Amino acid sequence: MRFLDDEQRHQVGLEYVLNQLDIKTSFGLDIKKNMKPYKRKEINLLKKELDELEEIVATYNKNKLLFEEIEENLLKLKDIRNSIKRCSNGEILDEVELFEIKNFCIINEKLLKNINYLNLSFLELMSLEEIIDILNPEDNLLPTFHIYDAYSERLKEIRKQKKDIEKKIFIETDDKIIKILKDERLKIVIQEEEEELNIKKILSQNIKEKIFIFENNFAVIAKLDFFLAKAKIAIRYNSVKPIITDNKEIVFENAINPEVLDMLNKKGKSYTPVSIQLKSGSTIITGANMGGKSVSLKTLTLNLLLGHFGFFVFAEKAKFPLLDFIYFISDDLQSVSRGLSTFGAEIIKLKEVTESIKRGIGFAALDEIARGTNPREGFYIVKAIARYFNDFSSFTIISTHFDGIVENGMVHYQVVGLKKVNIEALKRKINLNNRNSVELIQEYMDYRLEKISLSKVPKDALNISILLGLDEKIIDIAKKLINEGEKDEKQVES
Amino acid sequence: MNNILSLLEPYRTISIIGMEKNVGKTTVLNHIIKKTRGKFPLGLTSIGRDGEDVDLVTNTEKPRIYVESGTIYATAKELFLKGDVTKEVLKTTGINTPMGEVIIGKALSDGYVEIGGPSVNALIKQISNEMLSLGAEKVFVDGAISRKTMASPSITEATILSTGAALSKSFDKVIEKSALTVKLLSTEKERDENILQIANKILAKTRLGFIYKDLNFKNVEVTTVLDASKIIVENLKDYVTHIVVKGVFTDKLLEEILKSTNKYKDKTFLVEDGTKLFLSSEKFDIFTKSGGKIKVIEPINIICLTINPKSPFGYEFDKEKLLYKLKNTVNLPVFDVLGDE
Repeated sequence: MRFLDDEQRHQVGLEYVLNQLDIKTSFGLDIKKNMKPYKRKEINLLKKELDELEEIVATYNKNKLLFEEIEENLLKLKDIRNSIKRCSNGEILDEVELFEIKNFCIINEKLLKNINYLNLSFLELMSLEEIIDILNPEDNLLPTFHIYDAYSERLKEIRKQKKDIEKKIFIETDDKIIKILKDERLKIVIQEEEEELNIKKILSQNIKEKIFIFENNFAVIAKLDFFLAKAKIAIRYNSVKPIITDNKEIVFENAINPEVLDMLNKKGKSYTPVSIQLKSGSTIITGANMGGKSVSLKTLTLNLLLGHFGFFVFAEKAKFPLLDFIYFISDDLQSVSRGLSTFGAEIIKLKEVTESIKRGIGFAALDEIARGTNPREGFYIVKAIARYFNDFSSFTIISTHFDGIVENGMVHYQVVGLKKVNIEALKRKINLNNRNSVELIQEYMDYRLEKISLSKVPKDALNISILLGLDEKIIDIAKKLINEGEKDEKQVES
Repeated sequence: MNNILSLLEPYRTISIIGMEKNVGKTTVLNHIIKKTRGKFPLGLTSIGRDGEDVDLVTNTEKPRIYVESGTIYATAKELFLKGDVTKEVLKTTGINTPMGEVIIGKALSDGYVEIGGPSVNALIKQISNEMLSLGAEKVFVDGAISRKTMASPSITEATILSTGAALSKSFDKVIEKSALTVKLLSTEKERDENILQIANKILAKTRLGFIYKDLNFKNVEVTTVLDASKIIVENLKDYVTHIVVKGVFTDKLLEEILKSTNKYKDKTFLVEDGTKLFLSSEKFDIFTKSGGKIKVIEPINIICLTINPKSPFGYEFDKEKLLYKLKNTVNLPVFDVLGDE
């Protein structure tokens, strides 16, 4: 899947966002169901959609009450597409369908007034006044419907006869005569039904002539409904209109992931937005476990995706070009359960990325790839991927805990982590408070990414081991080994 | 049946429940329609039957009713379009049945309508209220007692119970069955608001629950009746005051309890309403006489009985005798559907 499969969309938090779309009509739901990312050649369409969304967001804030009215009207709209389709096939609509069409038209006129008042000129709803007139031949506009006497003199006459005989039936007490009268009534009922059918046929034909208006309006209403839902989410999370550029650069300032944000808020914890600037080629993110590397990758992937779907993005500022593909690769349990090892699943997906990268310009986030295989080979595989992908115009972002992946020409970001924390002091605090040490570490962890030029991985793994109370002797041995290892590396390098 | 109207006067929603087919439920409805003609607009709907019973509605038991112009009625779309009145669509409800969406319509002429509504309590209530707000003065809900219907007459303010010779060939059996039904349907309501609140909490979650003296409670998952009786017996501790049972409460369940313990004494079994009680007279009597209590959460207000002394199978009882015997047994007004038109 060039723009993530369902499981991955769920992983990065797209499903969470889409589930929050408060869509009121089945027309709007259809747009959601058939959402597709914009292609590179459709850049102008995307820009137009984002501009229109911007207009709705701006108008919404100024006219909340009117938008509430619009939403109420949308809620009342029934899906009459099936009846309209039947009508266009030349079938005859029944009384209930005509009733529903009449009510659709009445609400349509209300929405038209709303839209005109708000001056949302890109929503070109057309008037259905003519159909209302046809379905409401009497003076008062009522939301009810029947085959009115006004449609035909003959019908009026038949109904008069029917009424007369019903009167007779009512006052008659003799069961035998009642039976005769009822048989007579039945004959009139048949005439009435015939004439009603003639009228329904004419009404259906009249509606058929205006089908193009209905079809236009279904699309406009769908758009209004869907845009309104998008605008409300954009407002809820302070989203921003992304700038779609032709540059080979992806920039996010303080991007957030609503799913993670809401989860942390519920627990009363704070959330650190992510800021990053990607150039073509490989960008490496390093940093200790628990440093939020995965969340950062998911946040970037999610927001890029949303931008491609014509949504505002959850950030203070966002700039990116339209891409041919967006990939996100991580330990994903689904493929593992299909009988592949984690590593195997990653490699299969990586093949897809590699093929795409040769043919177009896109984005691939590789989250701790090769974590599940033996570290020595894993290291070289990641290094090879980073080096190979660095030569392409696509944006590859690789999070890894391996040291020494970064090479010249690559961008390197690091989780600030516990670098600025006094480990001894924190350790004392943990011992003193007797609180959940994991929670305390999370509190002190600095999740921000900083761009660095030195390619040295901080020793946060060791620090976390200390904080979580791993035996000091083990820590000491580890420290010694690391020192020796670094000396060896330097010797090799020199 | 003339007096039936004055009995109905205080109520705005009334259900007519038949104990069997052919006990003259439709005759009762037709009588009421005729007697109220020109006085006030009626609202009509019926408790739909689920799944396999659909055929029953469409093929054999068509409740075709001759209504007066001005009558408001709620029925499934398929049936709505079949009616031979001049029909006006007032509202679509968004409630779906196997025969299409429930439509609220108005008869613009006299004539026949076919009524089949939703089968869920809350929806019937909603539709009844909508008909009242659309101008119906009284709403009649046509229903039947069956294990298959979930909706119950407890949603209406008053209930007419229709019975008759169709129940049994034996005169005494008809009296006995009718009396038992009246007794079970009019089972006393639990009055304690605290208990009712807790019971509703239990019912929202599981099919069985226990309420303690200190108003704490326990929810229990059960799958079968046998399971239920075992769990009930195990849990009849001294501090339990109420046992809340969702769905039907059967003879079998009562029998299992009677067999295994006598700790049910002074404890109250709470069911949703009287239609959920499928008990025989003897089991019920043994249980209540030895100190057990059964109460309901939603009471059913039976205001009268109607009888049809004729059976569709050809036999017929002495109408006066039947009226007299039944009146004395059930202590409620009883009307003959065929008499005094």
